[in-house]
Amino acid sequence: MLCMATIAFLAKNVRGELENLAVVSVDNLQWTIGQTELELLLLQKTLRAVLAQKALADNAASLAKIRLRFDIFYSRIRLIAEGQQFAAIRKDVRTAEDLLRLNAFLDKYTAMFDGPDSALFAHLPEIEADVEKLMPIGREVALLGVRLHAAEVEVERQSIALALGGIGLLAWILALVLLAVIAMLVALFHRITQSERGTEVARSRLQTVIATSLDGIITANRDGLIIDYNGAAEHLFGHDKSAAIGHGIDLIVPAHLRPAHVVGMERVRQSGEKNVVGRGLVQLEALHKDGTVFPVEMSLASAILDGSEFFVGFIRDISDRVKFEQELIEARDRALEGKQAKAEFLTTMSHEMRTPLNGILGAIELLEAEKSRAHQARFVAAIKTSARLLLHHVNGVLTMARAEAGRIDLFPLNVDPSDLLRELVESQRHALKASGNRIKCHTDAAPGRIFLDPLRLRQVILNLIGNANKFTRNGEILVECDTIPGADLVEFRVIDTGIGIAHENLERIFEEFRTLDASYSRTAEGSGLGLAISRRLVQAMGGEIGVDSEPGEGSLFWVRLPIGPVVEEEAIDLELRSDKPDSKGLQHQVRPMRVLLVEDNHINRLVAREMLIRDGHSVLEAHDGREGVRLAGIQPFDVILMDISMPELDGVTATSLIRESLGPNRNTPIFALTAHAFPEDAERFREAGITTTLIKPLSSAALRAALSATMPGKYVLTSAEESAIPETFANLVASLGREAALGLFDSFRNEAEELIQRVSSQNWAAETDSVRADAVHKLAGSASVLGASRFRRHLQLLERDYRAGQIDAATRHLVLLEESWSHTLAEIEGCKSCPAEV
Amino acid sequence: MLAVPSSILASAILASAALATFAAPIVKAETLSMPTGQVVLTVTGDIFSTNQSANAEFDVEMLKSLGEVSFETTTPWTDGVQTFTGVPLYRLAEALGVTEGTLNAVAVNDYAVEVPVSDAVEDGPIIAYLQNGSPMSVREKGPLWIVYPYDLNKDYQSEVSYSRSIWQLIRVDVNAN
Repeated sequence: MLCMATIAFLAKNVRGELENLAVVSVDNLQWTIGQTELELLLLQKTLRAVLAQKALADNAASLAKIRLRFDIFYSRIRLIAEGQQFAAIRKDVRTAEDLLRLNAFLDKYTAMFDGPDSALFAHLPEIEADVEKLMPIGREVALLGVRLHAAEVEVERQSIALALGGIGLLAWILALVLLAVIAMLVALFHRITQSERGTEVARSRLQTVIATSLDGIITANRDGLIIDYNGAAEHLFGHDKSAAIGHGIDLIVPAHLRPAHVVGMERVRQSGEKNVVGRGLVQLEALHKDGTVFPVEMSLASAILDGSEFFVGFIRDISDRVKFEQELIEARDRALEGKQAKAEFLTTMSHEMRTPLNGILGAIELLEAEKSRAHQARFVAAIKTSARLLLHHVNGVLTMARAEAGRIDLFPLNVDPSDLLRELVESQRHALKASGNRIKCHTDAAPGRIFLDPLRLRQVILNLIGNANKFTRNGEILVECDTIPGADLVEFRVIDTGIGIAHENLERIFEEFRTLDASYSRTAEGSGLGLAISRRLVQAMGGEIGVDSEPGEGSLFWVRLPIGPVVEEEAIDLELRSDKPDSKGLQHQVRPMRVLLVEDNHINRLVAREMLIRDGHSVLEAHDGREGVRLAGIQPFDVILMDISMPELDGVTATSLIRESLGPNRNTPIFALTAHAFPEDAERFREAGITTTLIKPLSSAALRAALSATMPGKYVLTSAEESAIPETFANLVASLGREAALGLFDSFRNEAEELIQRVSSQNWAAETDSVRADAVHKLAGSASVLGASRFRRHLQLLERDYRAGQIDAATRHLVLLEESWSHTLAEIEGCKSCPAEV
Repeated sequence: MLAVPSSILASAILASAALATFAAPIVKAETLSMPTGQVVLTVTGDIFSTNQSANAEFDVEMLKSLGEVSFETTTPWTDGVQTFTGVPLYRLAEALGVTEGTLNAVAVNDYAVEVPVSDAVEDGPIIAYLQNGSPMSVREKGPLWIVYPYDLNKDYQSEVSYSRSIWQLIRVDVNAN
């Protein structure tokens, strides 16, 4: 601004100078002054010409000429004396003097020139003389013109120089100002470029951030219209960017939130008041293009750009998190509920177990004091009853635990439901009398045969009868069985005339660890597991259980089960029964047997030994698995009873060692003794070579039944494992000749002995599994060619162990390998000594 | 100031010019009135109106009849503001049918200067015959003096205008190029 003002001022100054040069207030002074001397000379010339004629004929004309010249000279002097352009000159002293003298001349003769011709004519000589005197003055005035000219030119030159100087200065200033402006523009351009580049970098960085954000980012204007929409939002809401932009933000608002959304947007428009903006993370629900509503977490910010407000929302799908949270809450609730139920159960069970235990202890005390054998027998019976009850409770818990783990083993058989029910009812009739209850059985409409696990079915029905008996006094219990037509189902019903169950409790009674309430548990003892176990069992058998009841009138429990396919009994060869009462077993006469009893617990050993000896069997005891395997290798037995759970060498391993050995008991039936028998255990036992499994505690009846079903040498190895060395040798001799056959067997022998030596050295353990497996595999190939099947099987088992990295099993098989080889070698030697013509 | 509107006069001049082009002899015959007083100005050369063979002679009354204007101005040659009265140069040119070329003005002392006809405009130079209301003698740069209105129009405050301001004017030679 200052620059502009300076320039304007200077420009105005210079223009003023130039205008001054253009406007001239003076005429050509030099000329005018010079004319004074000329006019004086012309006057003198005219005078002289007239005087020279002397006697003039035309006097008047001559005088007129002189008069004109005088007048002109007069006008010249007047011009200098009066004209304003001569004002400065007139101040000069010499000029003033000159003017005085010239004026004096004019004053002297003006009257004469205006007078009559004769008087003028008479004075002409005098005038001429005066003019002559004025000549130096005329010259001086003319020279004044020269002086003036010089001075004027000087002034003019200085004035022009000044003006040009001003212009020059102005030009310089203009140039400087121009340079400054250019510099400023360059700097400004630089700054703008830099700022633009910075803005561009920031913008592209922001774009990248937005585009790659995992959160959906939606920008909307004040009218709620979407103006930007990133890739994550496309994914989140299913709408394309092109479709979303320009659309209202209500695109992603679910229907039930829309009214609130509309009100909120209106409030923002009206008052600028915001509920969600800047509040951090807010949990909301959003709408996907496909119509699903899902939970989101949103953070909303607003900003003002170019005077218009806009909103940016960062939105994250939290469906998974919400789901996980919900699951966690449910899991926690379940855990708390379970904990509560288990605590209740523990209380109940402790109480239930304490009752028979107290009975047992009391009876034992009495037994100690009592001398009479009859009384003793009664106390023993009481102890037995209490102990059975305890066992029943524990079995219930175990069954439940197994059911909890989803492992209920079923062994379905062909069952006649009428027989089963009748037997059950008869067995219970006596017990029910104590409560004053009668029991009836209706099985007219029952199917002739069903394929079910009779043990489990019996357990369920017994439970229902027991349950009915608990809640009925002096009433009637009806057990029925029907076919449900068209559905291939059988229905059992247990109906009582007891106290009934309130409707709100009908579902709860089947829950685990529940006795209904305090009054219930007082009226009827029980672990509260009975109905829960029943339901589990029924479900495991593919059926349903339910109840209808009217409080005060009675209850009806029903069980629906599939009738099942017709199956041949022979298909089931492995029985897992010990507590199955078998009254017929008592009548079986079992032949005396040689029994090897392998059991580490001395009490169990004692019980089993006594039971066996009482039935006339002979028993040899082994105190652990290792001793058992050793004894089994020495002498043959008719049966081996093998405890499963033993330290160091367990029953399963011991069994497989006996089976894999070439000892006298490799085909002997082996009964497993175990407290737990899961289906996968049964499979494992069978693989190891166990014939039958007896569940502890061992009962005489179950033991007797198992022994009576035993045939000596029933367990037989498959034929593939039988040695074929003699046949192979004979074939080789026939085809290759005796020498070649013997050579083959010799090299096999060398190979085998080399490996036997190698496996017993220290280096063998340092080899990798695969190297060891390969070495064993190679020898197995040779053994196969020469028919050493049993030896080959041992090698294969060993190879399998190495491949699977089961070093313990491999070590076990290694022990057997040497023994196996010695048998094989004996066979080979036997063949060699055979006559050539075989 | 002007008795006749200039537009009508302009039309008349145009008409005269047109007639001059197509019927010159008739126009040439149109003569000015004869001077009755002392002749103060003689115009010679390319003129369409004459009264003395090929020339036009004017007394003060004839000049006055062409239209009279007055203005006040200072000049370099006088002291103080002067009132000049006279006939505008353009009126004289019109009267003589002069539209272009130059006027060669000659003074009594044979001073001469060329005034272009383009100078003869309204509010331009006049041929003054009165200064401050009085006729001018030769001693007072009279009887005729071409004066420009220097104070009314600054453009006239130039050496060219000053040099064209001829006094003691007695004759004008018209040269129509």
